[in-house]
Amino acid sequence: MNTQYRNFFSMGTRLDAVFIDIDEKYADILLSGIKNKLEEIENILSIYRPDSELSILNRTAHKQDVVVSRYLYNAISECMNYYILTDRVFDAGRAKLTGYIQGVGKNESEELKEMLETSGMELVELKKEGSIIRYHGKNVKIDSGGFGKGLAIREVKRILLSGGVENALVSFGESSVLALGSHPHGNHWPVAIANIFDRKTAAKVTRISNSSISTSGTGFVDASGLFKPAGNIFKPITGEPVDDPRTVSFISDDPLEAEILSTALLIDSECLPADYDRSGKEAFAVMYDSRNNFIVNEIF
Amino acid sequence: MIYKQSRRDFLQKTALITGGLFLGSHFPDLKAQSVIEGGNGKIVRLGLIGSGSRGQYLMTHINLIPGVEVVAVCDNYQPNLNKGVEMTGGKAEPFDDYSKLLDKDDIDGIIIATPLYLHSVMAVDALNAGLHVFCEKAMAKTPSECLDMYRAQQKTGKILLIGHQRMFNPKYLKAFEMINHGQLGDITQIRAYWHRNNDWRREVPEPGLEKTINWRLYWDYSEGLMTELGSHQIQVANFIKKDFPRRVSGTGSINYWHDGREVFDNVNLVYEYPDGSSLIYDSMINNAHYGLEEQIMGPKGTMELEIGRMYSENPPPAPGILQLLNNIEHKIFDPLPLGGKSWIPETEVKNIGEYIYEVDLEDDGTALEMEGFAQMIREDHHSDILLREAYYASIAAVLGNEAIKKGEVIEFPEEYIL
Repeated sequence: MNTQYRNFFSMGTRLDAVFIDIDEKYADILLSGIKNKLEEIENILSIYRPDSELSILNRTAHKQDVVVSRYLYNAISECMNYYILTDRVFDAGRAKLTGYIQGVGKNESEELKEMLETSGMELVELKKEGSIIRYHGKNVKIDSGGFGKGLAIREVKRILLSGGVENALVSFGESSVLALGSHPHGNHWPVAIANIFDRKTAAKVTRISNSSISTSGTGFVDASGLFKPAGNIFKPITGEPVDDPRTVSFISDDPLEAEILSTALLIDSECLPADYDRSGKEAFAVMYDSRNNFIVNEIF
Repeated sequence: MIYKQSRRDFLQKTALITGGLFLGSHFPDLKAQSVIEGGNGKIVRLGLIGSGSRGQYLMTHINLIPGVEVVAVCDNYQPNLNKGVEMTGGKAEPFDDYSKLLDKDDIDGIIIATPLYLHSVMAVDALNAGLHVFCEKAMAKTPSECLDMYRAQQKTGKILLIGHQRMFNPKYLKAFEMINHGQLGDITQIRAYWHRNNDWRREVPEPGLEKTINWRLYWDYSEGLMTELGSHQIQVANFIKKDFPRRVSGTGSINYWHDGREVFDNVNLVYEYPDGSSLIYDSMINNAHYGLEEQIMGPKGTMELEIGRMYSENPPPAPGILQLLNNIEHKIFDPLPLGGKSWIPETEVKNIGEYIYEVDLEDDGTALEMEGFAQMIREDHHSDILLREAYYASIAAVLGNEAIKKGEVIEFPEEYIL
């Protein structure tokens, strides 16, 4: 058994990769390809890099049509599709609103009302011909935080499959995990979603194979055992915070779908339409009562 | 109590460090100082020359060391002399002439905390008088004065310890050990800086005392930022590189404090080591935002020694992944545990690194350095390693000023290589 492990920092988190039955040199080649691709994606999508294509778009698209790369156009176009699919729950165009709510908290001010009215994907215009994007609200700002890692894992999957890798596990900060093939001693990759109040125990054990699991949460438990809401999860339509302790995990063969819908279902577990194709997918929420006991809710 | 806690922690930690062979194999002199608890009972009697602000700071630490007494204080500025004597509870004998203090026959060693230009003559006189010497950094004002001091120590065999307290700071010792064990890889670059935002002046009661009190601002008495601040950080860089820089170039000026001072209020230098690596150094006193730091960089990671953190280029494996790897190796088919802060969408996780040394000592090494000096006296043990460190750091600091003044690349003079 030749197991190769590699890791590095990327996209503001840590990528851990375990390759099965791959020799050392080939693992390095694969890793180099993955690193380069992720760097390329980060140069396009990071809102923490002022010179990324998305940052430039966010600064200029309020004033004029902006021609963007096909990659960025497609990424934002997919976000738009999920915005529609989730009935406006997954809204990548609310970055300024997120910052506002984190800064002042939920309130009923005119300022918040204006922020809600002038931001969001509703006000993003996409013109496929020419890959042109225009923002029609002064507070529109697209944040890749809810979909960037999904796109990245999608690329990792493509690189590994085209490289003939059959069995591998790639974890992106433990929030997005791709599994190809199976664990060397089983016929799938078993994963356990931790109880956030007691990380040594699993709230839910599930299996992934040739698929991804993405988990989103509303906050974290600090060293003293208290739940701390992140403050950046809220209902985009109303600005109402979602700050009770919970996580939602989504399994799909498409890492982007897993990434986006784990966030959307965290905000509203009923946001998907009845005719949404659920086959081969799994979604579950782990919620916590007032005594911090967990309850698993199988969404589908 | 701070001192006692520091000492206990240091001794405990040092036991670990020596267990790891670092001090034993690479720093035998510090090992000798640090592992002995309480000394051999001999009372160490010291004289203090220079009881200004630095001398008083040293005295606050000395007063807490069991078995150490300051029995004589010398200063030619009466208010400082009064204060120094007062800090000994009035017990110390006062002097306004250091040569008379050196004639006392009941002292073991002296502490020199005077302006830089006096270090060499006082230290050489004290060594020749048969006394052990602790001298504040930098070692001296010129390379030849540094060499005079080194030779005087070699001739007399007495202890000469220069006040680079980071060499007694457990956080730094731990970092040195980790670097020595290759945790950063070969050190390819060091960046260090010391930024303050003040005029570096002290109040002068009458104009005639300007150069006596604000000696740091005038070339006849001081080498400015390079010796007062830079020498500490050059010494750290040299110790990590196990070498000293052979060339230096840079710029400096007075670009803010146009108040009659002579020394630069900003310096910017590049020191080159024989292996092609460099120390990039700057210091300024009109902006304090970045404070002070030594950033040690190698292909495997970075250390920031002042804040005591290490940042790996490649992160440590996530605990769950480590468990998975272990399970695979042992043919165990257990779930991969997942759980992390990054479950929160739309947040950036920064590489905040890891602590190098987790105990907050509330001491920059000065207390331990003072105790180290006392212990060296008890054992009559001089550290040539520490003296050479101070020697090369001090000369490099002075050469930095020379490079700025001449606008040239300055080579380390052959005649000063020991």
